[in-house]
Amino acid sequence: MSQTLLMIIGSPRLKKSTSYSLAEYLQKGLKQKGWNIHLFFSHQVVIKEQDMEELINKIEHSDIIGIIFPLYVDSIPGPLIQVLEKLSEQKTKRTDQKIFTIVNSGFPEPHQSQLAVDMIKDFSKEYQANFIGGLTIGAGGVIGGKPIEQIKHRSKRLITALDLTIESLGQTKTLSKKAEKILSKPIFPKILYNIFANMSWKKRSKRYGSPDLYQTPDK
Amino acid sequence: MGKNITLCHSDTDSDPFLSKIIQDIRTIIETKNCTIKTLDVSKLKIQPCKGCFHCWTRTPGSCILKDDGNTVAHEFINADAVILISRIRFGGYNSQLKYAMDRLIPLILPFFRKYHEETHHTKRYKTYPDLISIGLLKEPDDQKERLFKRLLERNALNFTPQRTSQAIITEHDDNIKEQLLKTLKNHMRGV
Repeated sequence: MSQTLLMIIGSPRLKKSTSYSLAEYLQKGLKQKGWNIHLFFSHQVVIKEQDMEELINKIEHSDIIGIIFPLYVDSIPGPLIQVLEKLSEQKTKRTDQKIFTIVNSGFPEPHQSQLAVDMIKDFSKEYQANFIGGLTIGAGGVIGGKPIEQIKHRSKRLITALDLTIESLGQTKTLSKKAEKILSKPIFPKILYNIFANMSWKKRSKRYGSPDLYQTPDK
Repeated sequence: MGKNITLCHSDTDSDPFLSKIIQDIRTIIETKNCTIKTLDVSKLKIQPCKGCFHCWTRTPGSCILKDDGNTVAHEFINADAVILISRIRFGGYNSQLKYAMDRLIPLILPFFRKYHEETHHTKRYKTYPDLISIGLLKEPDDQKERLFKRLLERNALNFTPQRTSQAIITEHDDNIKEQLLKTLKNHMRGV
């Protein structure tokens, strides 16, 4: 019987998000292995009761749950916490359900997302499922919501780690330790990334007439 | 002049324990002649952050969403100290309070700097309020308590308060008022 993976994406940018880019790459890889894949966006689930019901219904029939999101104020985005609160009221109805997570952030250091990974581990305990690992991705701006195949030239290490993740999920094992190790370092040279990131904000503001970015309107 | 303290909390209607703790905090602060402003985020209209970064590039320092999320950010930056209090969920704040916290991003700049050997955002304002985090648990839970402590440490790296304090209170604690007084006292000085 084919396996089922359900992924909850926790970014408000939905299909334009880096979290979606990552989920889509995993989806393609696992579909080739004959897996069924379901995708949900936490920001949609919290506003449509029907979507929440569908999520709860589908989750019962899923072998693995993937929770993929951007780091927001050092932890999990509000709407995703709301979904997890709802799920933890019910607990898993299966004995063998597994949970993994991928957390990405704009900071170059991946370890800044480790706390959020550990929070998902805590959720897994409440939900009574088995936590099988978490990946932290720093320098998320390198992906910037683009399909992973398009940024292959910028970060081969990211591709290697994601391929290893697909491999380990395909065998319904614990997440690849090698993938976790590869992604524990920035996916792009830190100094260069910080220079590009700092330049990009001024460039982006040009389309809005280059306002003073240092304004202090609240004080 | 007493200190201005802003208290942000989640829903108290369904949580008498939280309601009682907030009342205790109020009493402590008011007897020290400080001013307390209370924001019940469950009664405010706070949309989720859209992740558009317009608060950094288009309307610097202000969110484009016109709702109470802006009130929370305004009260946060203008307070001498901010108390964040909710039930601990998965080692962090509950979703109601986190919706509000996610809207604090306009208060910092998009630019990176090195701070405590890590990359963090540059400050938009010269000073930021003291950060006091209070988490409530039904019963002691080492894992959640450790996560909640780490969360304050990380929040402090990004919101750069001058001082931080934390209390984790369980429903069976018998010295709650003492714990609260100990947590709050350093932030009410200079009266």
